[in-house]
Amino acid sequence: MRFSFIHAADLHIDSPLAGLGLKDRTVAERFARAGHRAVEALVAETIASEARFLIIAGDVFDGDWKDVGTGLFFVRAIGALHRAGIPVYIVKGNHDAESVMSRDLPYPETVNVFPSNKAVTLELEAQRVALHGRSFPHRLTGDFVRTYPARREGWLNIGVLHTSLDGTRGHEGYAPCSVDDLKRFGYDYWALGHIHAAEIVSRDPWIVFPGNLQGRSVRETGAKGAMRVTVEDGRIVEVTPLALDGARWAHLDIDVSDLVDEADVVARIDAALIDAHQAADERPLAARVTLRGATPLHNRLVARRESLQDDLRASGFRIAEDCWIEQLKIRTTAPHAAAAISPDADTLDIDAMLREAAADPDFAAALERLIKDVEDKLPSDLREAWRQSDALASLGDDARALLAGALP
Amino acid sequence: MKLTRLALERYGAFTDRVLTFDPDAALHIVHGANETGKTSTLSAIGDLLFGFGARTTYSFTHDNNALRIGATLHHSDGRQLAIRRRKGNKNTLLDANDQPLPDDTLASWLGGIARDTFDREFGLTAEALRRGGDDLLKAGGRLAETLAASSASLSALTQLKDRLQNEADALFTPRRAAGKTFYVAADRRDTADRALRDSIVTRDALRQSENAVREAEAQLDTLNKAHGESGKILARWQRTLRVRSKLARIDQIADELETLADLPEVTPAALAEWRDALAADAEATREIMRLDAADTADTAEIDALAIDETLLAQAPAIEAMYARMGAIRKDFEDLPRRRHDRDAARAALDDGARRLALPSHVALLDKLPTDAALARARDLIARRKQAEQAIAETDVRHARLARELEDFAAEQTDAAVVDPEQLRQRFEALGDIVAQADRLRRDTSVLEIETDTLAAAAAALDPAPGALETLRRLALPDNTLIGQFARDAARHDEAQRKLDASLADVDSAIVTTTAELAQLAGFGAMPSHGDLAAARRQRDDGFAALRETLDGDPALRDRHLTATIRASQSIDGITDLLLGDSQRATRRTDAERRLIARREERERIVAASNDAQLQRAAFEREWTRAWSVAGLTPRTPQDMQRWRDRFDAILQRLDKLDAQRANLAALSASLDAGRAATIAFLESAGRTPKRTLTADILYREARTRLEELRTAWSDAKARAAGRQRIERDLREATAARTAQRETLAVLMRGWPDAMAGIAVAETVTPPEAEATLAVWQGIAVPKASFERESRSVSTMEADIAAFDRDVGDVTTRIAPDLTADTALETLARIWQRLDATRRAGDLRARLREAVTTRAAARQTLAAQRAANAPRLERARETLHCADPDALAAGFDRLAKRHRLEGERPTLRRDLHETGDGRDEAALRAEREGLDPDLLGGDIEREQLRQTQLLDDIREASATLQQKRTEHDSLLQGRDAGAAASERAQASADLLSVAEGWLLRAAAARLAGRAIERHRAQMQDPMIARAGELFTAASDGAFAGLAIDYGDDDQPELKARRADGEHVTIAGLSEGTRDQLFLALRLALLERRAAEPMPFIGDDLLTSFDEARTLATLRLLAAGGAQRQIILFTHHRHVVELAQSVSDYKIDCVAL
Repeated sequence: MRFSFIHAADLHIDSPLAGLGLKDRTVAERFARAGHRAVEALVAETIASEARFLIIAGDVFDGDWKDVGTGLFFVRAIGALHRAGIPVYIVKGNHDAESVMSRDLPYPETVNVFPSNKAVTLELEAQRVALHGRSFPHRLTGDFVRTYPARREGWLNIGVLHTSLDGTRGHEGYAPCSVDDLKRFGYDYWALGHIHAAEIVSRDPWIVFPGNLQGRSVRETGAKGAMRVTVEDGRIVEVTPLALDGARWAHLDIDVSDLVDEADVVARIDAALIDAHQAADERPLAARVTLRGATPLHNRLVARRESLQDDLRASGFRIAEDCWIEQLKIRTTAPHAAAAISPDADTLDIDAMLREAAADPDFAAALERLIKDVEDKLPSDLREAWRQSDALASLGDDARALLAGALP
Repeated sequence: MKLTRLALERYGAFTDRVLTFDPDAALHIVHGANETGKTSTLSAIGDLLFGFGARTTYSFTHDNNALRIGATLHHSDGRQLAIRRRKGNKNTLLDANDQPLPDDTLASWLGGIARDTFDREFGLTAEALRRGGDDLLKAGGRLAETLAASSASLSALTQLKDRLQNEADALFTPRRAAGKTFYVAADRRDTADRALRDSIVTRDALRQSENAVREAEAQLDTLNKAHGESGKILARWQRTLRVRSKLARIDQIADELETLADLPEVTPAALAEWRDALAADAEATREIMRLDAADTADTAEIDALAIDETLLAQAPAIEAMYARMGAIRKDFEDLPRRRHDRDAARAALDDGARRLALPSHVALLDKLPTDAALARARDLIARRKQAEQAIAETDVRHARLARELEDFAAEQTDAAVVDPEQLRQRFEALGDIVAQADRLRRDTSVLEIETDTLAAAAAALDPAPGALETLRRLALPDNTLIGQFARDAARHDEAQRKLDASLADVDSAIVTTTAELAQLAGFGAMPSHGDLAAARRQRDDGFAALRETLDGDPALRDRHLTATIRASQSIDGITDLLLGDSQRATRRTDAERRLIARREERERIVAASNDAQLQRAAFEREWTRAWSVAGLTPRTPQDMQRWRDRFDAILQRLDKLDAQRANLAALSASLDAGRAATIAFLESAGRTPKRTLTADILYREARTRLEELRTAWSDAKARAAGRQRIERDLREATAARTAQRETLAVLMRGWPDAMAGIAVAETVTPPEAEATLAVWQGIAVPKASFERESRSVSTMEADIAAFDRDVGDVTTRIAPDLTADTALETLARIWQRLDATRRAGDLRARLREAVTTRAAARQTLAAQRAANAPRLERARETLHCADPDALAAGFDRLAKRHRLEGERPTLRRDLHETGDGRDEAALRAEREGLDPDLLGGDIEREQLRQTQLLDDIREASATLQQKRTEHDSLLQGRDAGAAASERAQASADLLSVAEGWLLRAAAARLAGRAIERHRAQMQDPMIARAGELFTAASDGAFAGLAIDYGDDDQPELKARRADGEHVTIAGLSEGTRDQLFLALRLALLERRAAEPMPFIGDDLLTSFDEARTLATLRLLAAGGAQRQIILFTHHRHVVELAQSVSDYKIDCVAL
C-alpha cells in the first residue's frame, strides 16, 4: 500500500511580517496577506496531492488571538480538509500552548488535537498508522519527551512533537531532547516543529523539521512550506519539501570588492535580484541587499545609500510590481590606503582630518548622546531594537564615510 | 615650480601663441582686453599640467586630436623641463621632440595635488574672491568656519556639514515639533498601535453580541404584533367615520325626491334645450336695446366735426416740402464753416504766390508745374550737391596726402641698415650661456657645502674614521660579518637575559614557597606523611618486639606492649591530624616538593649562566680583533651596524661629489668656449668687447646688441612701407578729383531746363532751387481744398433759395394767414394745421362705419328670437305655464330631480369603495354601538398610539440591524492581522527615520569637529600671518587681525584697526572682506611645504580702489619670492599701477 501525508508546523497565523518600508498600500497588503495565502496553499496542496492526513507540529497561532477572525480563518481553511475527508492531527506548541490560548475553536470532528495532560496515541486504522503526540500545557516545558508512549508494533509509528531538540539551532529550549532520545522510541518518523529552518535531522529513523510555513523577516529567507511524506508498505520511502509560502524573503549578500564603478554595483545587484525573483516563482519578494568587500566605492556607497536604495526599489518594480528591496545595507570597507598622500603634499588631507576627529574619545561620547537623544523619544518597546541596530555599531565609520563620499 | 614659457600652439582660438614669463620677475601681469582669451589661457595651464579632461570646450577652432599646449617649467631645485601636452587617452605628455614622456614625469613637480585642488586652491577668480568674502560674512566671524572658508576643501566640508545638519533637523529634534519626519512617523506608529488594540475581538464580546441580536429580534417582534392589532381597530373606526356622511346623504336624497314627485317626465336633453332657448331669447332682447342707444350717440358726434377739404387736397405738396426741411436746416448749419474753409485755402494759395513772387493765387495756379517737372528738378539738385561735396572731400584728402609726402621726404635719412637675421642665427648658436654660468656658480657652491657636510658627518661618527680622503683606504669588516656578529651578540644577550629572568623567577618562587611553608607551620604542628611513615615503622617494630616477648618476660612484654600501644596512638593521632586537616597537609607536602625542585633548578641555571658568560667574553675578544686592522675600537655590533651604514652613505656621497666635480669641469670648459664665441659675435656686430669680462656678462651684451640691430631693421622696414602707401594714396586722390569734376559738368548741362520747369531762373543755386521745390510741393493741398469748398458753398446757397420759393407759393394759395418770418417757420405752421384736419377726417370715417355695423347686428338678433319661439311654446304647454318667469322656476325643479337621481348611484359606488368593499348593510351594522361624536377622539388617540408604536419599531429595527452588523463585523474579525502588519511597518519606518537622522547628525558632528581641530592647529600662526597680509592688502587701513571670544566662549575673528578698535567681519565693507579673504588664502598657501605651485589670479582687483590695488600688487609681488604669481587682468590701469612699482621686478605680458 502506498500513500502520503503532509507534515507542517509553525503556521504562526496572523503574526505580522517585519516592516518592509513599503509605501504602496496595495503591495503592502499583498505581503501582509502572505500568511493566509500560505495556509490556504497548505490546505489546497493536501487535497490536491490526495494526502491521507495532515500533521501540524505546533504553533498554529502566534499566541492568543487578538482577533476572533484569526481562529475563524483557520477553522474555515481547515474545513475544506474535513469536507475532503482528510483528518488533521495537531499538537499545540509553545506559542499556542494550552495555558496561552484563552479560547477553543469549534474544529470539525476530523481535526484531532492531542491533549496536553499526557501523551496519547491516535490510530488511523485504514493505513495502520499510530500517531503519538502531546500538546504543550504551557510555554515552558522541560522534561516532556519521555512521557511519549512506546512504539506500537506492526504499525507505522509517528511521533508528533514540538521541540527545540538539542538547542543547537538557535531557538529557545522547549521540550529539549537529543536525537538519540528520539531514536530510542523506535518510531518510524518524528514530525517535529518549532525550528523555522527546514531540516531532515535523521533518515533512520526520519526526524524532520519542515520549517515554518511563511517566512516573517529577513532572517527567514528562502522557500518555506511543509514536507510531503510518502509511505509504501508500511515504510517511509520519500520526504519531499513543498514550497507553500505566500511571499518570499531573500538576503542578497553581494561582494563588490572587485568593482570600481557604481553602475557596475547596481548591475550586479539587479542581476542578483532577478535571480532571487525567479527563484521566488512569481511570489511577492522582499529582499535585503547587503554589500560587502573592500572597495574604493565604499564612501560613495555610504553617502548615496538612501538614493541608491530608492534606485534599487525602482529596479525591483521594473522586475515585478511586488519585487521589493526591504533595505540596502552598506557593509563594505574602504580599501587600505594604497598610496598615502605624501606628508609634504600641497593638499589638505580631509580624510585624515576626519579620521583623527573620529578617533577622538569626545566624539564617541557625542555619538552616545545622539543615540540617547533619539532613544529617549522612541516608544519603549522599540528601544531594545534600537540598541541592537547594527547601524549604531558602525556609526562612527559610516559618518566618516558619508562625509568623504559626499564631498565633491 | 615656475612657468617660464607657455606655448598655446593649438588651443581654443589660439594658434602658435607664445607667452614668456620672466623667471626673475616677482609678479607677472597678463593683460588682455575682453575676449582676448584670458579664460582660455587659464584653462590651458590646468590642461597642460594635469591633462585634458574627457571633454573640452576648447576644440572649436582646432580638432580634438590637434590640440597642443607647450611649456617650459623651472623646478625650485634648478631643474628645467620642456613639455607639450596633447589631448588623448594615453601618452598625452610629450617632450620637446614630441616623444611621449612617462605619465608620472610631473609628479614631483606638482606636489601631489590633483587638478581640482589646483583649480580651487591655486586659482582664484574675481567671482571666487567675492564668494569667499561672502562666505566670511556668512561665517559671522566664527573662527573655525572662517578658516575653513579660506580653504576651498574645508569650505566644501563646511557646506556639507550645514546641509547634513539641515537634513537632520528636518528629520528629528529632541524637542518635539509637529512637522518633523520622526514625529510624523511616531504618530503613525501610535495610531497603528491604537488600531491594533481596537481590533482585538474576544470570545466574550462575540457571545454578548449574539445575545444582543436575539434580544433586539424579540423586542421588534412584540412591537410588530401590537402594531397589527392597533391597525385593525383603527381601520374599523376610520371606515365607520368615513362612510358616515355618505350614508346620511343617501337618506337625504330619498327624502327630497319625494317632494318632486308631481313633475312630468322630461328628459334631461329636452330640459336643456328649453333652458337654452329661454336664455337666448332674453339675451337678444337686451342686445337690440343697446345697439339703438349707440346709433343715437354716434350720429350726434359726426354732426359736430369741422374739416378743411382744400388743405387736405394740398397735402402731398406740403409733405414733399416737409421732407426737404432736414437738408435745408443742415445747409444753414454747414454754410458758414464751408465759406471759412474756402477763404483759408485761398489765403494759403495767395501766400504761396507771394513766396514765388507771383501777384495772386490765380497766377500761381496758372504756373503750377507738373509732377514730372518737379521730380526732374529734385533729382538734378541732389546729384549736383553730391558731386560738389565729393569734389570738396577729394580736394581735402589730396592736400593732406601731399603734406604727408613732403613731411616724409623731410625726415628721410641716408643711414644704412643691416638685416640682423644672420647675426640672430649666430647668437642662438651660442646657447643659454647665462643659465650655464649660473648653474656653474650654483653647483660649485653646492659642491663646497656638500663637502663640508660630509666632513662633518665623518667626524661625527663614533668611532671617528679619520679624514675624508682616507676613508676609502680603511680595511673594515664587511656588512655580512658585522651582521653575523650582531646576531651572535643578540643571541648571547637573549640567552643571558633568559637565564637571568629564569633565575629571578626561581628565586621568587623559592621565596614564595618558603613563605607558604612558614605560613602553614604557623597554624600549629602539622605532621607530614613522613611522620606517619615513621610512626608506622615504630609501631611495626613494637609488634615485632612484642611477638618475640609474648611468651617471655612479662615486664618486658608490658613495656613492648605499652610502646606498641603508644605507637598506635601516635599513628591514630597523626592520621587524625592528616584526615582532619588534609588540605593543609596536602599543601605542605606539595610546597616541600616544589621547594626541593626549584632549588635544584636554581643550581642548573647558575651553572648555565657561568658558561654563557665565558662564551660572551670569547665573543668580545673576537669582535675587537675584527676592527683592530682599521685601528678602530668598535662599539657594540648593533651600534657598528648603524655606523657602517652611515659610513657607506658617506662613501656614496663622496662618489657623487666626484661626479659633480667632473661635471663642473666640463661645464667650465664649455663656458670658456662660449665666451670666445661671444667675443667673436660682438666684434662681427660692430662692438669691441672687453675680453676680461665673464662669459654671461658678454652674453647679455651680445643679446642687447642683437636687439638694437633688430629694432633698427624693423624701423627701416616700417618707414619704407609707409612712404609707398602715401604715394599710392596721393595718386588715387588725384584721379578721383578729375573724374568727379567731369561728372559735375555733365549734370550742369541739363540744369536750365530743369529750373525752367519749376518756374525759376537757371542761375539759382541748389539751395534756392530746393526752396522753390518746397513751395511747389506745399501748393497741392490748399489748391484741392479751395476748389472743393468753393463748389460746396455754391450748391448750398442755390438749395436754400429754391426752398424759400416753393413754400411761399403754397402758403399764398391755401393759407396766407400762416405766413411767418422764414420759410421754415411758415412750413411748420402749415404742417401743424394739416395734421389737425387729418385727425378729424379719420374720426368721422370710423363713426360712420360703426353705425353700419350695428344695423347688421340688429337684423341677426331678430332672426334668432324668431327661431327660439317654437321651443318655448312647447315647454309652456308641457308644464302648463304661460308666464315666462314661472317657466324658469319649473325648469329649476326638473333639473333638481335629475341631479338627485344621478347622485344616488354615484354615492353608493363611493360608499362601496370607501367602505373597503363592504356592502351598505355591513357598514350600517359596523357602526352599531359606536358613538359618532366620540369616534374622532378615539381615532386620534389610537393614531397617536400607533405612531408611537411605529417609532418604537423603527428604533428596534435599527437596533437589530446595528447589532447584526456588529455581530457580522465581529465574526469577520477586525483584521487584527492587518493592524499588526501596519504597526510593524510603522515601527520599521520609525527606526529607519531614526537611523537616517542619526547618521546625518553624526556626520555633521564629525565634520564640525574636524573643522574645529583644523582651526586649533592653524589658528595662531595662520592668523598672525594673515593679519600681516591683510594690513598690506588694505594699504594700512587695518593693523592686523585679532581673535575675540564671544558669549558662547567661541573664538571669533575680527579686524584690528591701527587705533586698536576691533571690527567684526560684518562691519567690513565688501571690498575689505575680499582683501581679508585674499590674505587668508595667501597665508594658507604660504603654509604649504611642498614644491611651490604657481598662484594664478583672474581679475582679482576689480573691487579694490587705486591705493589698495597698488598695495595688493606689492603684496603679491612680495609673495613672488615664495611661489610664482600670475595675475590676469583686463584693466589697463592695473598694468600701469604695476609698472609704477619700482622695488619689485614686475613682468607685464600682453595677451
